[in-house]
Amino acid sequence: MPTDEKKTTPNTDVDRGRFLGGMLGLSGAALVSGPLDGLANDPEAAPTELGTATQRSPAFDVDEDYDPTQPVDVLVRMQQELGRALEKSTAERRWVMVIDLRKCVGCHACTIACVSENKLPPGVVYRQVVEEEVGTYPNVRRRFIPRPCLHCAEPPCVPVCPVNATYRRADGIVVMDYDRCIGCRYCMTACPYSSRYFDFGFSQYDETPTGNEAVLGEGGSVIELLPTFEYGRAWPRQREKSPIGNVRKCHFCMHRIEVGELPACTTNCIGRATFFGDANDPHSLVSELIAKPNIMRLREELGTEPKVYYLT
Amino acid sequence: MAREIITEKTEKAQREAGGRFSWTPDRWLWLVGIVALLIGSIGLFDRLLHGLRPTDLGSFVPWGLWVAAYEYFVWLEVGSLFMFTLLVYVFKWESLLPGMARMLYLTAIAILGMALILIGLDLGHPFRVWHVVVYPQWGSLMTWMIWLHMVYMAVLVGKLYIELRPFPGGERISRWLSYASLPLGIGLVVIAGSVFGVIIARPTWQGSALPLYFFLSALVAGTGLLTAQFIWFWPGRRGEAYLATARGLGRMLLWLLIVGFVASALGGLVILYPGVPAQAEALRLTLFGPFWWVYWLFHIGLGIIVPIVLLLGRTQTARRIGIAATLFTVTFIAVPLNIVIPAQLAIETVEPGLIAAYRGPGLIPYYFPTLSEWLLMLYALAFGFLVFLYGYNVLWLRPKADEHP
Amino acid sequence: MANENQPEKKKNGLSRRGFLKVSAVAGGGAVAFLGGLPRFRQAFTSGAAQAANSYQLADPTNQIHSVCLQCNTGCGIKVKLTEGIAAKIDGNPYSPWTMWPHLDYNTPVAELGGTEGALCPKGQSGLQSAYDPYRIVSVLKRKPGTKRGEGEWITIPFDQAIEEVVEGGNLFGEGHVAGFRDLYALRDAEVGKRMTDFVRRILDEKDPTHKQALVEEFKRTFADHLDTLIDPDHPDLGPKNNQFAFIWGRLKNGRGDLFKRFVGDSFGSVNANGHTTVCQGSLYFGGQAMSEQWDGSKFSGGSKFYWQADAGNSDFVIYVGANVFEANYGPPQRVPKITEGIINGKKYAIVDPRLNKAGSHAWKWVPIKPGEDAALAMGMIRWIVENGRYHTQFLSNANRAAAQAQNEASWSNAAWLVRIEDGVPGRLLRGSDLGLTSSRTEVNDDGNEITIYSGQGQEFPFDPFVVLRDGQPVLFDPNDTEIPVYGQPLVSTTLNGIDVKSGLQVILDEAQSRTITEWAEIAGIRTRDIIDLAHEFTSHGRRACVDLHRGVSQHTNGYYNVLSWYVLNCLIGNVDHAGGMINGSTYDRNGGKTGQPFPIDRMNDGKAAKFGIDLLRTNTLYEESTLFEGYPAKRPWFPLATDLYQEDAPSMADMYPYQIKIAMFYMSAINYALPSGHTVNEILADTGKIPLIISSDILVGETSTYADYVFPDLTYLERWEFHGTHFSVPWKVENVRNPAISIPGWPTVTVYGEELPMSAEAMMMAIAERLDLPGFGPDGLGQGVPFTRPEHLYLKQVANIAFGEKEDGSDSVPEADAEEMRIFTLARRDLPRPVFDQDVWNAAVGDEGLWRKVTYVLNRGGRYQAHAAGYRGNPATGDVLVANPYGRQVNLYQEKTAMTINSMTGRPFIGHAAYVPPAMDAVGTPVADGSDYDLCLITHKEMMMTKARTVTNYWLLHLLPENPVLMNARDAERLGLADGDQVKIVSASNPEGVWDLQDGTHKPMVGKLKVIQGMRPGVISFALGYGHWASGARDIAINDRIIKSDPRRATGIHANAAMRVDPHLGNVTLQDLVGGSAVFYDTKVKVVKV
Ligand SMILES: Nc1nc2c(c(=O)[nH]1)N[C@H]1C(S)=C(S)[C@@H](COP(=O)(O)OP(=O)(O)OC[C@H]3O[C@@H](n4cnc5c(=O)[nH]c(N)nc54)[C@H](O)[C@@H]3O)O[C@H]1N2
Ligand SMILES: Nc1nc2c(c(=O)[nH]1)N[C@H]1C(S)=C(S)[C@@H](COP(=O)(O)OP(=O)(O)OC[C@H]3O[C@@H](n4cnc5c(=O)[nH]c(N)nc54)[C@H](O)[C@@H]3O)O[C@H]1N2
Ligand code: SF4
Ligand code: SF4
Ligand code: SF4
Ligand code: SF4
Ligand code: SF4
Ligand SMILES: [Mo]
Repeated sequence: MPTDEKKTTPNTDVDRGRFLGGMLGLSGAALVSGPLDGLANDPEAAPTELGTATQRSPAFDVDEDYDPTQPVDVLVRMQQELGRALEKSTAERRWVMVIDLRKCVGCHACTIACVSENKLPPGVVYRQVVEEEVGTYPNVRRRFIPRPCLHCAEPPCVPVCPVNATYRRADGIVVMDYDRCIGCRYCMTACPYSSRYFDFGFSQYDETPTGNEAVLGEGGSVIELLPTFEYGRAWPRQREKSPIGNVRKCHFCMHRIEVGELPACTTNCIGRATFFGDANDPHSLVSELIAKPNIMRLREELGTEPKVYYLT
Repeated sequence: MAREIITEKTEKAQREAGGRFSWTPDRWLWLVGIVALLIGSIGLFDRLLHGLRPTDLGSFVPWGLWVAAYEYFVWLEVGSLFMFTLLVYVFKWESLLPGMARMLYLTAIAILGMALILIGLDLGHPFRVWHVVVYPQWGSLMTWMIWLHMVYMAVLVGKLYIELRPFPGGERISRWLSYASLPLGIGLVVIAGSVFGVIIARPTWQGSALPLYFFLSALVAGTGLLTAQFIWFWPGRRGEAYLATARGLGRMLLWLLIVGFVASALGGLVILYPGVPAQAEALRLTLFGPFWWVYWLFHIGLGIIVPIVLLLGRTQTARRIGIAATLFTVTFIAVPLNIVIPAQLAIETVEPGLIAAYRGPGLIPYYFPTLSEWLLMLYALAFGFLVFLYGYNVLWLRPKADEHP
Repeated sequence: MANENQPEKKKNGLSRRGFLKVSAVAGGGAVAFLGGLPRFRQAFTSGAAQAANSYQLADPTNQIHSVCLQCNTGCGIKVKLTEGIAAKIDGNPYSPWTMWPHLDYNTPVAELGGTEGALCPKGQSGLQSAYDPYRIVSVLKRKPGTKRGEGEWITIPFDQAIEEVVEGGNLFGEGHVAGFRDLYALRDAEVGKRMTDFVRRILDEKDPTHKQALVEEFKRTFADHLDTLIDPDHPDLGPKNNQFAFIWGRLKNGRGDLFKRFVGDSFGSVNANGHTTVCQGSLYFGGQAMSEQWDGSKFSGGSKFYWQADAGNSDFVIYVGANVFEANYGPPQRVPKITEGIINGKKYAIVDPRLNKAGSHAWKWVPIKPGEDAALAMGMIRWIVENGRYHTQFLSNANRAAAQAQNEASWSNAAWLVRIEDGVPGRLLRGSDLGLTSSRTEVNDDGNEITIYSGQGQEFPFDPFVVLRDGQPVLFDPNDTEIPVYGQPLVSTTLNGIDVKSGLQVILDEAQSRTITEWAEIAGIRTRDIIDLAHEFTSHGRRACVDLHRGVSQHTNGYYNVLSWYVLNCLIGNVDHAGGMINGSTYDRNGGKTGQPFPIDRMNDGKAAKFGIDLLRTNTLYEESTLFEGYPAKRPWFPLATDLYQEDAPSMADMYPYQIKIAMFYMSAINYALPSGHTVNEILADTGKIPLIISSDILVGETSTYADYVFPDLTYLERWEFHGTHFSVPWKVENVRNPAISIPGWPTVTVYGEELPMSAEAMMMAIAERLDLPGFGPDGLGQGVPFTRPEHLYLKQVANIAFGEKEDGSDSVPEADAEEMRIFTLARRDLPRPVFDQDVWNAAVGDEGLWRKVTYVLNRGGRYQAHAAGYRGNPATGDVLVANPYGRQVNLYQEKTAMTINSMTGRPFIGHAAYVPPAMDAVGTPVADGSDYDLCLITHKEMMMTKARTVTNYWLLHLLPENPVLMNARDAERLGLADGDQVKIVSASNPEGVWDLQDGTHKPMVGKLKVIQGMRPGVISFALGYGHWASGARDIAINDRIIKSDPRRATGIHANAAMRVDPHLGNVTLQDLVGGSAVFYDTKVKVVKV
């Protein structure tokens, strides 16, 4: 599959020293991630220095701090593991997501987390939660199935792009190059999971009041003009400028991962049903989970090899 | 059926002699074309100012009228020339057809213009088309389609240039270009079909049927266009030879029609029979969905049954064949519409519940072109029409009654 | 905005005017993004702001920790800022609401920039509440010449608005309207104090003639002050000050302390009430009655609270009418604990007529018949007791000493003996009843006469209670810490010729009044459901719990439903146990503990002496009042509940007990929220009933629509509040809401010479200033201690919290170090001075060390006890108690309730868990609307919507743009209805099925039918939050210019107006006269296709 990772990664100014593991009581030390392949690193661009960063060896293992009587939120564990993964090169990581359908409560927090993190306009969504009812009264159940992009290892959306604007990175994330994409929407028709959405440039505020001094009016739409930081760079919302006119999709919150944060849908998963991590790390939570017998993937028969797994 | 043969010279002379301005028919046509272009440009401006918002496209139905029209235009543009070349250069069919060459090139160029306007403005970032040239992804059939279309355009332009500025040896080059256009045309059409055919995600698209179907469609549509153009535009005497050619074309059209009809009916049955739900749903939408009339009235009724009846009739007048061919060709746009759109509407079968999970503009499995889309379509048509008028009237790219291979 | 101070152009802010102009280009119309906001453009394109081009939201200096108020759960939030604009809201990882376990409180903020907890979709959408285009930025006044509800407004300057409401006058060309000054009649606190005492004597007088004589004497005594009274013939109504009523919907502490100080301590009105009874009233007041403590002379001091399950440690929970996954208090906090249990083999059951989302993963869903919850509970009680599967020891513990001896924190009165008179349980048995005591009178240290009772070798300062042990009566003091007393939990006998039963026996008798199958029939479920639930519930020791919420309490029998279920918890003795039913606790913000720096309640030199019957008739007994005129009373009195939201408007309409002349609504959608809310519309619209209505709101909401003045307020992202805790949180906490943003150009006003942002506080303080009320101003918090800015109070409260509750300060938080101080200041760099001024804030706390502690708390959005400190005991033995227990007596039998008279029937209330049929009117008659109305209407909350408020959040509307009417497929088939049909809901008290908007228009209650399986046949439901007629759902005009409505805000159905109007009272919803609940689930309706 022709993916050209280095060349086409959008330029991102990510401060790579930013992932902070110290908060978890790990000797108060901040982790420093390894080089983020494909990212233009600009040390000058680093915002305020935070805490003291100590270099940890790549072999860093959290186990020495393990205390079975002190449980931690899985969010904490996953973030620690994320820090560990960031010490490796991009190609050595294999990001996967696991969604436990037994724990998903259909709260849609992940959907809105994604929408607000990525400043998605009306009509664009990266992660819906599908609800269905099974059975007949009184033997009936409701089921909730969160549906992000599955980051297929064999993504049908990628080879169809005429300009290489969407591709699979070495770490498994299927990304978009907004500046490259011509907006032909071929990839949308090619995705068997309806995971791609076109940014038509809609606004939430087309029907809200303007021009009356007694109400906030257009002053309120300021939040819509804030930039999205997808792919680690600011994309202010401007008329017919990218990402308007582009196809958009879940990117595993690359911009957050790169600074050591979990994807927004994962941190906000109220049911703790969403897990994220490096499947190349044999000790990661996701590695443990994808070895469970009740693991499955959507429409396996298509051969797309999704990197989003479901526990049922 | 004697008709005065108007030559370039006589007409120009007439025009100069005429002196006083008068509303001649072609002036009327110019006016119609320009007015249509002006009205259509509302759609153009809407598109340029507001992006794709004024369309009814969405994320579940990302491709609509413009894409379907593009395919339709490609079929016409490729199909008519292909049939022509095949009949004239390959099968050396004894007929009056060769005289049509100039005009067919002109028509193809005009249609190509329409196609490019629509597909270009269908892009979210039309001003980035050059990315396809600079950053091509050869794994994508769309890349191939676009490149082939560009090459095809070059061939057409080349042939037209030779027609307009004949030079020694030009004819030979033109002939070779014609031969080249055969595989190029097949390639273009088949690849255009494959653009859909490789998509496993959409019911009814996937598989090898669609490329073949595209090829067949191009042949039928092209034959229709060729037939109609010959019948309506043949400048020479409309005697026996004219009628024979017309009847020959009519017969060919009839057979192609029948073969095509059977093929697609079989295809439909095959889809319905095993009942792959999503495919069946797409088909059900085509046949009985909200736009059932596009299929039944427009395509089957006006486009197939009426022409077949007309073509089967005992007394085959040229007029009758011409009407059949025209009806068929015009209504044939229903075919790409029905290929492109229903397959996308079946989303609820492919991903049940996805629609209800998050609502917003463009997140419904429904599509009907908006006024803006029709207007841009009008703009494209008017543009092509004006190109045609210009070629026909100014560059005198008209059929030549005396030409024989 | 003539009078308001326009904020000067700040370092990197825009003036309001400039801001609006700039963004005018940006927003609106089809061409939405022309222009954009230059500030951002600059920031992201200029070379100088290179860093801004990268992801900056993980930087702690771009984050402020505060507290969500999108619903009332109060999750800790982390507001991420871009140039002072809220860009993203995530969970505060220090808060137990968003992480489980929450992170160590002492983790430096610098290290948590990239770590956050989970928030629900509403919480994350909060910025759309703050930046809502419909937010009002000027004071609105009803346009003179137009009627209330017509939607015509003019803007007036803040100072003028204050002048008008204070001075009154012919404000609308409709004649004189009384202002605050007119009502500020009684100002002399000393006179007030004497009047109060006198009125107490009048009330205490039982004899009507003597009572009358006392009234006459009162008039003579206070002849000079009679003009200050509402009605000198009824001095117990109190002074005219009471004719100002302050009513709130959602109010938290801090602000609440300020407002209540204003209304009560300063202005002197007894009328300040909240919305409790629309919410889960009978649950709160059931809890209050169960927590009443014996104070030596009576049962008192019950806390308005309820218990919830410690879900994280429960092995089995029965959620009854509790929508734990979609609503409740609240998903981010409770859900992870439950889902963790799901995969670890723990179980829970859902008792709900509707298959709520939690039902989807439940061990069992019991689709109970609405209103019949007590029948299920009674069946379970019967089975459990008859099978001996209850915790005998816990139920035997009769006093504190017994509890302590048994390693328990709490005890119950299950074993206490109750006198049965004529078969009816009445007073608790006392030692003297059995002749076991002798008494004598003594004079105590204070010089008061007291009676001492002696018996069984002990002395009691009161007539002691009795339990039976080994067949012998034992006298005891419930609060005794030395002599443990145990009693038999089940007793039914005759002692000294008196029929007596133990409290538990009384309840068992009730449970045995029907067979389990009969209970099942009443509840509309299977017998084996009851037995299964009972068996499972008693199979996990104390790690099981029943968790209740609105579905149980909001019925006419709500109080008894609640008691019945709580009995089950007591049966397994899970009170204060890990995995059992627990209680929340907070750090004392008011400095009530010795050593705390600011004793707020005492920091007031001029408290008014407020007195009189309150509007809702909760603080006085009907029989004692001078209004007593036999049964039924004109309107019910509520001796066991407070905050009766549904009684506010009708009491004002009936002017009972007296007329309210100024009604001020704060953050309230009283007409939208209440069942039969259409009756409220009618009352609010009538200027003859309530002459002046003032509203504090962020937009023209449903209630503000009927106001005369609407004062703009700050949203929760811009203001202060102490959100407290919830009863399912075992850790001691205080959530501190503090300003995270300020809307660029937000108007400011001058009060006491200080520049304040336009807000509810500014409104109150400006009125106080104009009236020169005590308790505010330069000496407001005591001599020389100013209370001229709200932060003067709030920061002192934060200081109390930071200091903690140990006298020596050993319990205080660390002082913020230089880095923390730097982050604190930097994060607030875009807040304008009227909102954040470090010097002012520091000065409000004074001491630098204390200030650093305050900073430490603010940097974390509150104070949270360490996770491990939440429990005590030995995890190995499994006997774990919560570290912050309820720790008191639990009344299974309530003498106080049993002795209280129902003002409508003249009969006493039942004092214990009992089955009472649902759907009764105020005089106790069952409401029967005939078979035509064949469906029971209930209501629920959806995850993505909060009340009247979040329809403004467009992100949420993507998830559910309109709420459907849910119906079981069988009913749909029977009624010939199909999924997607438009249907109207009509009821006997609203046969038209409309909201009368009082401006000549009506909004029909029409919604889209959704046919499902997960609903009990015969029941339909709709979710709260849609079907609006204000809040941007209808056009209004301000200064004659139309503010267009947004159709997205008007979709869906709000069927509260179909809920049954009480046939006896005629202008109020059905209600629970004991626990006070407004009734949401007892109406029969008809569904009509439109
Ligand atoms: N999403 C969201 N969350 C919220 C709020 C919000 O507005 N939206 N508000 C907050 C507030 S203020 C509150 S008070 C809480 C309320 O929290 P809950 O009380 O837990 O929530 P409701 O949905 O009001 O719960 C009513 C439940 O009772 C069921 N029910 C109805 N009738 C009966 C009955 O007769 N018997 C039984 N057993 N069940 C019945 C309903 O189907 C519904 O599931 O939620 C808080 N959280
Ligand atoms: N059908 C149905 N009805 C219900 C319920 C149900 O489950 N179903 N649940 C009930 C429950 S549990 C409750 S608690 C009640 C709630 O009822 P309420 O407490 O009366 O009201 P809210 O809906 O919270 O609306 C408060 C109003 O205050 C205004 N407001 C919003 N934000 C602010 C602010 O920051 N400052 C000020 N000053 N004003 C503001 C807005 O106009 C808003 O509409 O509703 C009840 N009604
Ligand atoms: S789910 Fe769709 S968009 Fe995502 S990688 Fe697979 S094919 Fe591509
Ligand atoms: S829309 Fe963009 S990413 Fe998708 S195929 Fe076209 S150019 Fe590639
Ligand atoms: S990983 Fe990020 S982009 Fe993908 S669905 Fe989750 S929040 Fe959205
Ligand atoms: S946030 Fe988690 S629990 Fe909620 S819908 Fe998404 S995956 Fe399910
Ligand atoms: S549950 Fe309530 S308080 Fe918590 S985040 Fe959601 S809306 Fe906010
Ligand atoms: Mo509530």
